[in-house]
Amino acid sequence: MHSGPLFATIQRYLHHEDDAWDALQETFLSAFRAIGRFDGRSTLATWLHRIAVNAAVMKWRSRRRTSIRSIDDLLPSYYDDGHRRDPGPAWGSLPLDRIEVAEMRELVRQCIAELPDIHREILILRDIEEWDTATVATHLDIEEGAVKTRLHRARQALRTMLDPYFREGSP
Amino acid sequence: MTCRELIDFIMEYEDGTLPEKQRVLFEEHLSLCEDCVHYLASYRTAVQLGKSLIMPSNEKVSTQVPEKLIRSILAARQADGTSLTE
Repeated sequence: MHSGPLFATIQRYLHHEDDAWDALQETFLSAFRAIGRFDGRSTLATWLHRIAVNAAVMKWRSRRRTSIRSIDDLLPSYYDDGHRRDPGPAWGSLPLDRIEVAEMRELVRQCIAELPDIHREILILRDIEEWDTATVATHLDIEEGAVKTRLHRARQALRTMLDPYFREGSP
Repeated sequence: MTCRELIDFIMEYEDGTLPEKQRVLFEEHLSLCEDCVHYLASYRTAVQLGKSLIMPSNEKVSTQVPEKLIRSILAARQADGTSLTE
């Protein structure tokens, strides 16, 4: 069976091949069990893709060894008048002279891994899997407003974690 | 509009969903505040990095489902529909 696209999706979240194969197997089992609920409103490809992402995220969560950061510590802080504390210098261009592309990818992946679950999963589903807000809200059983708020916070937190690497003049 | 309010509105601004009145205030603030210009630029960079660099090879994954899989699932569904429904 040609399962390359689904396996590739799963490998975005799971580095260990054994874990990825486990998640792929779980994807097929879940699809088999739930096929009676497939209502045809999405394509079968989209439906399977969602099951694969869910299986990968669940496996990733069970195997996570990364320490999770507090979202509040990663959001901007402000003075009473609304000015940002410690705005810092502008970001320079991508430091690809100092960091290889593969290292940069790993750095971003690690930063995302340190986000709290409720923020990381929405960042993955919206920005990487490109699900729309309504689909994510339905999938996670939350309001669309909550999806937007958490996505914005997740993006700000990712920006904060990357900040030391991009500040102009950083080593 | 304060820096705090501008940062709160960034996502709507980027999505093009910020109401006209607030968009004008947003852009007025940007024209006066270098810190917020830098923040917006770095926010955009972070979002793009998140979107692109996590991909194994910067390739979009095909959504094509193998025909054999479709046939297998449909065959199983036809053979024993009740046992496939949770």
